[in-house]
Amino acid sequence: MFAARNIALCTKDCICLFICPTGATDTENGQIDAEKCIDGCRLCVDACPSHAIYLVHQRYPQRAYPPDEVMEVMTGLLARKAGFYIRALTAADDASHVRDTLYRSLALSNKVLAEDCIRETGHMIPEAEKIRGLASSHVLQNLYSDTFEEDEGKSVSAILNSILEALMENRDAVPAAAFLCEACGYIVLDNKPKKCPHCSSKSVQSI
Amino acid sequence: MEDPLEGMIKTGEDPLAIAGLVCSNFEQASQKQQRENMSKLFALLALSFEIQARENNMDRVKSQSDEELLATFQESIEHDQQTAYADSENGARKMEHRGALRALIWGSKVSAIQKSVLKRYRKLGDELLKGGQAMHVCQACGFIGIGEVPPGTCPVCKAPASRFVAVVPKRR
Repeated sequence: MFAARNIALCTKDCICLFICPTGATDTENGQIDAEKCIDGCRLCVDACPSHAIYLVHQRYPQRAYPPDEVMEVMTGLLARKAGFYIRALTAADDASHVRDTLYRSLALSNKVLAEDCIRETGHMIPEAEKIRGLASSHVLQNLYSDTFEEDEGKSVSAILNSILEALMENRDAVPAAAFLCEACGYIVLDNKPKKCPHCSSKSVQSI
Repeated sequence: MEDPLEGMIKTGEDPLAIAGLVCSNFEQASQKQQRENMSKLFALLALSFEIQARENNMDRVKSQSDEELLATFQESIEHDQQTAYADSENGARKMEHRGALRALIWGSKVSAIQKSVLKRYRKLGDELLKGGQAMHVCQACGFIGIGEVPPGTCPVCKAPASRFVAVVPKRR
């Protein structure tokens, strides 16, 4: 585990700079250097008068799944909130200004509710066993290739593989060159296209 | 046994929206785990599925008038109030799953607020928001507040004001 700083709480007393054996706490971007941080040292955590530093764990426990009845209720609810969220979001595209605000707020509110239900159905963190199941069952790849037949779900597979490898080694994923068409949602890996290969839009963003 | 969530993605009504939300949930989780590259990959998938889902829903949404759409939203909330949220007192307590119980209690209160805001908009229209007011959504529980600034503490989940996102009306 390594230390991380909550900038919102940091009052710049700098005792963490005094106490750190490796200098990991002194960086140009305000965040502690995880590579230099000594696993479990916690001198800075204990020294900070504002309690602005915490320890980030790299291994997480597997939890038992909720009982079947809970799964059923929460899954049903999240499906309904997902529908509400996406329809409110779609409606917000060209509504009048207060109505647009209402639609966006309802979309965001239901997104939060749905995500909460997702967490309470055994999908709390990426490490959860269910995620490996989800990735290996190809359900996301198949869904993607329903829209983008030409891709056959390969870009989604590549992304999920990168994530799974990182999870198995309890680390962050390697940085990826990945690009998204904002018009249709098509994903391109490795080289930034001048326009979307699927819909020819020029609105292609890097991640 | 198959993961019911996976089943919902395969056979449910809004698989793209659900796939997007599964990914956005992990975008946030990995962000909190300080895994920035992993977070970006989940964000990419989340946004891709969200864009596809919106495209998929375009015809359905555009074919309804605003009044029809608002009515279906209100009915959807009322349906959940009569089923999943009504059961929460008995169901989740009996199952002794306190996490699910928390999600149902918060969800029930937030849904009541959503319905209240919806009803007020249906009655007041653009007068719902006075000059300088915005809607403020709590990122921890989904509570919607109206005002010039967010509440100091979320009335539903007690998160601080810093956890609110402002949804600001665009100028005409």
